Amino acid sequence: MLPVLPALDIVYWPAVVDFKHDSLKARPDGDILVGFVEGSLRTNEDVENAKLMRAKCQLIISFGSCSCYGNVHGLANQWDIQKVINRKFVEAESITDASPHEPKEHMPGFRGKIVPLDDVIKIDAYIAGCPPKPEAIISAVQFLLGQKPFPMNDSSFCNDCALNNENCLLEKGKLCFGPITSTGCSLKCTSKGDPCVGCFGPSKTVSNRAGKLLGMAGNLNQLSTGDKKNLYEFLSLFLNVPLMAGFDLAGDILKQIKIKGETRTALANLPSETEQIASKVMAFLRDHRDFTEISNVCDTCPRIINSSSTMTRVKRDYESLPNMDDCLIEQGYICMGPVTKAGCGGLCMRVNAPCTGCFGQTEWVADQASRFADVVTKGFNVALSKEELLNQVKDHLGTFQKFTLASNKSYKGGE
Amino acid sequence: MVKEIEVEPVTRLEGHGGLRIVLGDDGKVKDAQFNITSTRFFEKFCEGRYCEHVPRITPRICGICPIPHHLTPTKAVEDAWGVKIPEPAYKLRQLLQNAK
Repeated sequence: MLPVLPALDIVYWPAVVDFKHDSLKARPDGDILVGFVEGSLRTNEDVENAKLMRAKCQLIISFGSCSCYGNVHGLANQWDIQKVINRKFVEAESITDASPHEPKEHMPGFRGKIVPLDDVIKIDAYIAGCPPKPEAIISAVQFLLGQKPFPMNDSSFCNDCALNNENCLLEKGKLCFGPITSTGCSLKCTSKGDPCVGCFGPSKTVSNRAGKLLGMAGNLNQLSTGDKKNLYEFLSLFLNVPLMAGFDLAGDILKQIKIKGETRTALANLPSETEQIASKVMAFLRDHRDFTEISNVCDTCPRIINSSSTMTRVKRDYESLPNMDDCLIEQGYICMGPVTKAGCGGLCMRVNAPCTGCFGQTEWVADQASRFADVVTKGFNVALSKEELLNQVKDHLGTFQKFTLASNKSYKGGE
Repeated sequence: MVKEIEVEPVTRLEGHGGLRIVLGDDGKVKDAQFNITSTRFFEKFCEGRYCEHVPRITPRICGICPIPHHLTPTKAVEDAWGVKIPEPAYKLRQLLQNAK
């Protein structure tokens, strides 16, 4: 924090500084540039605070897995709230009161279910993780302090590109971002026959091939797998969007595009063709299976998949000591890596502990247990059938949706 | 005249709390109440979990002091299973707790 502190003016942060509720309430609406809202929404006061922050801040970042997904507290959604309250205030073994009861005086009251923060207020960006990585916080703050993409040079990459008309990669059906990318590079990619992925960022003007690129951007399903991978690279390089370390601004912009139907990227004053192309790419990435699938924890885990180990039964975490080289799943443990969003850098697996999914799910499905079993029985050394694997796990909710049960809209709960 | 002073929220701690101080006619403190206004019911939702998962759930009680919340369920499981930990493990825990 120290290096960026001079650029910041902290106006409310209960855990660290002394400002009270009243000082926050007294501010005009939209007075604060950015608010990081953490914690799950258990009480009515939590929801009021979230709404107050939304009113006072121009941007809201949902900070940490509690506000992003409800975190472990969401597991309480298994029961009716009255049962949950009684367990703590009436039935707890440590209570010594003669007539134990839920305290009501000066208390805000509990909500029936935990929901993620974006259920009650609009969110501009998410930083998941329990806890979030410092890198994600730094990249978010840097981004907000003005490291936005901006047009570099006047003319586009096409202007300098040596491939003439009939050799143009776009004419050959390759997705080349030259028409909207700034000049200035050594043209390494196209001289080797590879398309431009936009690493010099946007140009102030676009080339006459932008229309062709826009047409292709509207029809991305036709692409080869290799080209699809380029899309991801393009987005992060071109828009300077921090995709790594869990600060998921790109994904969040996509979410808004989806909700509001807006095609503007809202990142910078780019030529309208550039806006449209970038938006189409983002919308495609958001919805496409290949891209939700590539950014999982296994991608950043150093362990070997398809190792010499094979899961022949599901082991409990305390059983034996796994080796440090082979995939934990293949050694028999339930590790949520393959279905969990990347961003942590594989922290737990590096200290020999399986992933428990704190960065959230790569794909939101109703039955996360079934999805996990599908993924690992297909892509990993697992000698069990899907049914056998699932039968050997007793606690499905706590194992497969430990951090995200509150985000599962199809889960009704309520015993 | 009875006067009530409200400190909301109590700052520089992790969690949610409010302080209410009631002053009597003589201006002296008549009543003081510290309300912990939130709880997340770990008591309930740890039910049904694998016992070895609990030491990775309860540190989420507090972002400032996760270590005791990690060690407590670990000790509870050891107690239930009659486990006696080796000396290096004990020292490691001491180190962890003191480094917190």
